[in-house]
Amino acid sequence: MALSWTTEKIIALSPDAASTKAGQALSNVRKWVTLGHNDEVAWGECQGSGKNPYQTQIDLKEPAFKCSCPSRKFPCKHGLGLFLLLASDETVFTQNDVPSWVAQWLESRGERARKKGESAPREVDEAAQAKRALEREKKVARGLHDLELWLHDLVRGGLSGAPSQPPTFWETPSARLVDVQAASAARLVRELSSVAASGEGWTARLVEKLSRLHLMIEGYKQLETLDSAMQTDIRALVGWPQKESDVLTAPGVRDHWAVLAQSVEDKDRLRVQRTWLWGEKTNRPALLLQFAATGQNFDVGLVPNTLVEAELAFYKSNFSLRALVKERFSSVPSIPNYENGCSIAQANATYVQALSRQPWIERFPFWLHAVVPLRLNEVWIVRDENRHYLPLSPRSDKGWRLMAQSGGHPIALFGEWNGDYLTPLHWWPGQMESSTRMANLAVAASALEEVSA
Amino acid sequence: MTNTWQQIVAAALLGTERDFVMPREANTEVQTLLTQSEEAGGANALLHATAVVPLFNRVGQLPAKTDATLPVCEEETQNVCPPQSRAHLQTMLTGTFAEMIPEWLQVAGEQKWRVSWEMLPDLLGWAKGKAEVRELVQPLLGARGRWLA
Repeated sequence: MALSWTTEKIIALSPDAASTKAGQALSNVRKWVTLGHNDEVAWGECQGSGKNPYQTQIDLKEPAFKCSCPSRKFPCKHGLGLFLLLASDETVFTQNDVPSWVAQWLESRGERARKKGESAPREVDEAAQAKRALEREKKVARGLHDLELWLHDLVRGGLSGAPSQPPTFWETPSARLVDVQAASAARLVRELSSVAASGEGWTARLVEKLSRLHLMIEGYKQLETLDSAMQTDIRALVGWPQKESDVLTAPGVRDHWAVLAQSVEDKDRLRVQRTWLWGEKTNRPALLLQFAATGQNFDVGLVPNTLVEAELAFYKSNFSLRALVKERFSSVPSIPNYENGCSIAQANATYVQALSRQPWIERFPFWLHAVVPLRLNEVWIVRDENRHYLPLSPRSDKGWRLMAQSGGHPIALFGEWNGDYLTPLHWWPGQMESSTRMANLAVAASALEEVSA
Repeated sequence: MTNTWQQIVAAALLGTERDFVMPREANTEVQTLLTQSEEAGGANALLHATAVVPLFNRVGQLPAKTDATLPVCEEETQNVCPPQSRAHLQTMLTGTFAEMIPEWLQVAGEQKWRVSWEMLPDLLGWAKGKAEVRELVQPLLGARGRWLA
C-alpha cells in the first residue's frame, strides 16, 4: 500500500530536481479537481491552465505512473504530486468508484480493477440487485405512509401547538425517514421545526411547507402517472438523487458563465459549497454543489468575479437549476454583465413559473440589474425603478454594507429568493469605485493563477 | 384570493377535526380545484387546498410597491485611502491590533484620505459609543460616510 512509501522514497523516483520541486508544489489537495484511490490504484485530475484537467494515475503495486500531460519526464510532476499527496494524506482521496479512464488503463495492464460498493456493473448479480432495489422501494413507501399518517394527525389536531412543541416532535418522524434512506424528505421534515419557531407569519409559512410535503407524498403514490421529469424531481426529493455519471450523459450547455456567488455551508457534518453561475448568452442560472467532510477543503475550481467558458450538464428536473461541469475551456477575471439581470417583476414572474413546475424549489436565484437598498419600517428592502420592492432576509446582516456601496444609487444584486425573503449573496455597485473594481479583478486573477498547475 | 388563503390557514391552525368548511373562492378555476379537494374529505381536503391556493396567490400577485426613496449621495471630493492601508484597517477592525486604529485614523486624517465605501459600516460600527474618536473619524468619512451616518 502507498503508506509504505515515504516522502523520501517517492522523491527518489523523481527524474530531476525541477520535477521534484514541481511535484511538491502539486502535492496540495487544492490543485486537484478529483482524487480517488483503492487498494491497487490511485488517481486524480489536475486542473492545468488550459481546457481539460490532466488525468494522472498510479498503479500502486509497482508503482507505475500514467498521466495525460505532455511532459516526457517520467514520472511527471503530476504523478509525483499525486503520490506525495497520497503518502501525506490519503483521506482527501474521496472517490471510491474507479472512473473508466483508470479502469481502462488497469485492464490494459492485464489487471481487473476491484471496485468497492454496489456500483460495479459487470460483477454484481443482477437479480440480487433488483431484489434489493425492490425492498428499498417498499421500505420507502412504508416510510412515506407513516409520514402521511403523521401529517394527517397534525392537520386534524391543528397547528396552534406547533411553535411550543419540543424538537423531538419534528425529529422523530424525520429520523424514521432517515432509517428508510429517504434523506431529502427527512431534511424537509426536520426543517419544519425552525419554520414553526420563525415568529410572525409562521402559520402561513408552515402551512405552505406542509403542503409541499403533502404534494411529495401524493406525487410518490402516483409516480407512474407523472411525466419523467416530475418523477425525477419526486424521487430525488424522497431519497434517490441522480447519479453524477447519469447527469454527465445529458447534452451539454456551452456558454460563457459568469461566476456570480460562492458560499460554503455546514450541514449535518457535511460541508456544502454552492456556486451560482449565470450564462451570458443562454441567460440562465446554474447551481453547482460540492460536498466535503468537515474540515476538508474544497478544490478551488471556480472563482467569483470571473467568466468561465464551460460546458455544463444540468440535472434532470421539471425546472433545472443544478448542474455539473462537463468540460472547462477557459477562465478570465471579469465583472459580470449587468444587462443579464432583470427587474423585480420579471424575476418574480420567472420564480412563479418555476414554482408551478417544481413546487419544491426553496432557494431561487434572483439576478436584479438595478435596485436601491433602503430601510422601510424597520426592515431592509431593495427597490427597483418600477417601485417594486423585496424584503431582505431578517437574518441577513448585509443591509448597511449594501447601502454603503450604493449611496442611494442603483446596484446590481444577486441573491436567493425563498418566496418571502431575499438573501443577498453578491452585489456590484453601478458606479463601483475603480479601486474596488481593480481589487476584485486582482483577487479573481490571482485565485485563477493558483488554480492553474 | 388572500381571503381564501387566510381562511385555510385559520382552519389549519384550529385543525380539521373542528368542522372544517372549505372556503368559497371567486376564481372559478380555483373553485373547481377546491371542490375536488373537498371530496377527499378530512385532512386530505385541507391539504389538497393548501397545495393549490398559495400557488395561485403567487401567480396572481405582483411584488408590493413603495414610493419610499433615498436621497442620492453626492460625489466624493477626497481621495480614497490606498489599498495597503485599507487592508490594514480591515484587519484591525476584525480585532487584531485594534488598539492601533486611532493611530491609523490620525495618519489617514493627515493624508486627507477618506475610507472606501465598503469599510464604512464596520468603521462606523467600531466608532459607535466612542466619543473620543469622533474627531478622528469625522474627516475620513467622505460624502458617503456622512450620508450613511
